[in-house]
Amino acid sequence: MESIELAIKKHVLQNYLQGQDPNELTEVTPLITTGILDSMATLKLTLFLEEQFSISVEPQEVSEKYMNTIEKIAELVRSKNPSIS
Amino acid sequence: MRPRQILVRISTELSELLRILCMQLVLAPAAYCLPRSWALKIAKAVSLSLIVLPVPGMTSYRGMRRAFGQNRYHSFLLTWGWLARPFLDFVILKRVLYGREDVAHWRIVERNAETVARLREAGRSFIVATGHFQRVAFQATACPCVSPGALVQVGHPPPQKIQSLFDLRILLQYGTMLKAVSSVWHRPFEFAFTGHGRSAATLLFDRLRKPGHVVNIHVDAPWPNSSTGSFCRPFAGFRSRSFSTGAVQLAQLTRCPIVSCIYWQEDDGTIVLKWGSVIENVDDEIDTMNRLIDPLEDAVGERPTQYVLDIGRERRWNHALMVWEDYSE
Repeated sequence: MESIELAIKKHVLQNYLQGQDPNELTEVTPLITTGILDSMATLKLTLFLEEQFSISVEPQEVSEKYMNTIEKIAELVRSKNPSIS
Repeated sequence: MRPRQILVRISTELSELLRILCMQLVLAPAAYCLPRSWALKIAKAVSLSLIVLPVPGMTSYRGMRRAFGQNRYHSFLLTWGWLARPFLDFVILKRVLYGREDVAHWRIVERNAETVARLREAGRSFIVATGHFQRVAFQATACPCVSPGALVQVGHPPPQKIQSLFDLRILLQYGTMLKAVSSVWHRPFEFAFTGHGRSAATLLFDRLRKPGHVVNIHVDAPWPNSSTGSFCRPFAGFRSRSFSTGAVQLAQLTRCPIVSCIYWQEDDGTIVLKWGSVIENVDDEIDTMNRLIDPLEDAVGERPTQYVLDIGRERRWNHALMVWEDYSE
């Protein structure tokens, strides 16, 4: 099974950064504060996380604090489902 | 600045001041003290003061003539009706807030309601896509019999700081409307104000994923075409206007149905709500937005004095075919 970080990166690249250099998107690239994810894109990503990792994201977690980077998102996913590597 | 621009500026500021004074010094007391019909007559009378000003009076008159192609007298009546609308609505909404309006006695008639009846009975959450029509009739969309469960109203936030006469007027007018709609029916009610980043979208996303929520969105709200999730199309008298696709994106994400609702008030005071077909699955965002906006622009053509936003003048309403069409010039 692919890592959480890789799955999130693939989702972001496929949906919001088509045609961009994948190497430019790192685990610490800001997604929300740089506008890569707008409000709807953040919600789409939330749905993706819920379906992919069988977790439930609370409304207050759909924010910069928890979802601004791939690293933070992966941390959020792990905190909700520790069985995922 | 050219003399014409100076005149427009002065006239605009004067009209804002006039509206504020009319609402605060004349209409609010009239709403409180006088019988309904008297207060409404005063509202209609004071709105005449706006017609004599170059802005909005003459500009609106020219716009009405161009968009509706009527004779001078009829265009004057349309202009008067359109300019009086905010004053008339203000009077009724103030009466609501003063407890002088018995909303239980408002006659609300729904057309094509069977389309949403199934959603209500099943307790499903859904999105109501509506427009900026008569503000009194708008109150009816918040009636628990129309939108059961918990209601979330999406809207632009009222100005937080008063930096101009326009801000003050909007605060008085729009603020009154927001207070009325949130309190009139004594029901679970939330606002989701746009322009507050992720919070509004997240709130709506959360509510729509739970059963028993109705989200009311004005899909005809002008939206910057530079924003993501915007699209342009002709609308009423405008050759091109930009709209947000947020409502259908939310429907798509949450898999909630979305349905259009047009409302107006008949001469006898009856409030009519006309429902469109329920759209269960959003396949194409733009196609769905067009299906929601088409009935709104037809309603603007049929009842221009009940629409509260600018109607535009680059296209005209064909009274025989009941459609908006481009000028062939």
